Amino acid sequence: MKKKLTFHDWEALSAFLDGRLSLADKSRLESRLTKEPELREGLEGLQHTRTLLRNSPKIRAPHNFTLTRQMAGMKEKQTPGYIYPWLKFSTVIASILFVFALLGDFFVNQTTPITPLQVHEMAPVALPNEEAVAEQEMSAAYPTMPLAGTTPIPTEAAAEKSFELSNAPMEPLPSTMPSVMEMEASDETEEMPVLSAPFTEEEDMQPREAVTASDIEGEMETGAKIPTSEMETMADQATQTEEIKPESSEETMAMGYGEAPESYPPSREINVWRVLQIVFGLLIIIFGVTAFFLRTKKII
Amino acid sequence: MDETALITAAKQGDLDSFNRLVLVYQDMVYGHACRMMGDAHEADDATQEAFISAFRHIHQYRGGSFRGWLLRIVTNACYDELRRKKRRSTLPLEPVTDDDESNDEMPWMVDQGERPEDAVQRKELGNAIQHCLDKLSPDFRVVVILVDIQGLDYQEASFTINKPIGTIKSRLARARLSMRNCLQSFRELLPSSFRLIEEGTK
Repeated sequence: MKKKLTFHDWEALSAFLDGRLSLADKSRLESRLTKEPELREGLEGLQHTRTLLRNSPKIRAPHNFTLTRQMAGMKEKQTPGYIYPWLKFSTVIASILFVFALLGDFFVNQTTPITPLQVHEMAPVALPNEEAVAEQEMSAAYPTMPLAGTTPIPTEAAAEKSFELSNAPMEPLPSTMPSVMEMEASDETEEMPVLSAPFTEEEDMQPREAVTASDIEGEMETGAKIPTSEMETMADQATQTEEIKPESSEETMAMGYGEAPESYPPSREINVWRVLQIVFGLLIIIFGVTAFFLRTKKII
Repeated sequence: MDETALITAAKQGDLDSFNRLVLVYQDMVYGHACRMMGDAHEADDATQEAFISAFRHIHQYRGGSFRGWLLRIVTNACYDELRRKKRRSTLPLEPVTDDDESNDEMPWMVDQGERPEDAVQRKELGNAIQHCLDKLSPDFRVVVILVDIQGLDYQEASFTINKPIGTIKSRLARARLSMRNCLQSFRELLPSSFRLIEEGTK
C-alpha cells in the first residue's frame, strides 16, 4: 500500500532539491528516502519538473525597450534661450524678407527712371557710336595707316599697300607708330618711346634714352637738333598722341559701360539697392536653411 | 563600463547609461513578464512600464541585486496589469466553439505557423508550461518563475517579492507540486526521461 505524502514532505523534498535544508533535516530525509519509495519517486518527479522549467524555451524581447527622453519624462534638448525665439520665427522672417525684396524691387522699378538692367541693355547700343567716332578721328589722323582694332584689311592688300609705302618717296614717317592697341596696352603712354631722334656719331656711342612726347615738346621749345621736317612730323605726332591718349587707355575701355549719360541715375544709388537685395537674399537663405534645420531636428 | 558605474550614472540622470542596462536585462524582464501575464502584448506593456518606472525611481535603489530590483518592479507591474485584467475580464473560462460547445482542441497548443517538427514540439512544450503556470495563482506563479525559470536563489526571490524566505520555500514547494501534476496531462510532449519517471510513479 502506497503511503500518501503530506505537504510537509513535499516542502522538505523541494528544499532538499535546492540544498536549503539544515544538516539535521537533510540527514533525516536521506534516511527516509532509502526506506520510502514513494518519497523517492516524489523527489524524482519534483526534480524533473524543476529541470523541465529550467530548460524551458527562453523568451527573447521582441524589440528594444530602451527609453526615449520623452518616455523618461525629460525635456528635449533646446537651443540657448536668447536665440530660441528668433530661430523659432525664422520661417516668418524669411518670408517677410522675401516679400519685401520682391515688392521693393517692383517699387524701385516704378519710381527709378532706369534700372541697372536697363543700363546694361542700353550700353551696347552706345558703344558702336563711340567706336565710330574714335575710328573717324583715327582715320583722319592717319589716312594711309590701318589702325589696330578697326576693320581688318585683307592680308594681301595690306602687303601690297605696305610695299608701296616702303618704295614710294614719301615724307618720313615716325619709326614708331602709336596705335590704339599700343595705347591700350599700358598706362605708361607718356613714357612710351614715340620717336627716335637722329644721333650724331658721338651720341651714337652713348646709351640711348627713350624720347617721350614731353621730351619732344621740350625740344621743340628749345629748337634743338631735330630737323624742321621731322620736327613738324613729330609735333603732329605728339599732338595726335595727346588727343588720342584720353580715349586710348582705361577711359576707352570704360566708355561703353561706365560713362553713362547724364540722364541716367547715379550708379552708386543703383548699387546700394542691389547690395540691399543681395543682403536680403542671403538673409532669406540663412533663415530658410535655419527653419529647415529646426524642423528636421524637431526642435520647434 | 561595469554595472555599478552604469547604475551610478543613471542615478545622476544619464539616460544613455540606463538604456545600456535596459539592453542587458530586457530579455530577462520581458521573459518574466511573459510568464507572468501569459500574453505577449500585455507583457510588452508591462515591461515598458517597468523600465520607465525603474528609471524614475532608480534613486531609490540602495544596492544589492539589481536584477532582483528590476524583477520586483516588473512583478509589481504585472500584478497591477493582472488586477486590471481581472476587473475587465469578459472571456469565458472554458474555450468554446461557434456552436457554444466546449472546444477539445486547446488553444495554447494551436500552432500559429508552419515550422519544423522540433520547433513545433518545443513550442508546444513551452505553451504547455505556460498553461500550467497560468493555472497557478500569481503569488505561487511568481515564485516558481523566479526560482526555477529565472534561476534566482531564495534570498533574491525573497528580496524581489518582499517576502520572508520561509514563505518562498513553502510557496515554491506548492507551486512545483502543482506544476508536476499539471504537466502529467502533457506527457506526450515531455522528454522521454520525464515520461518514464511519470509512468513509473503511477
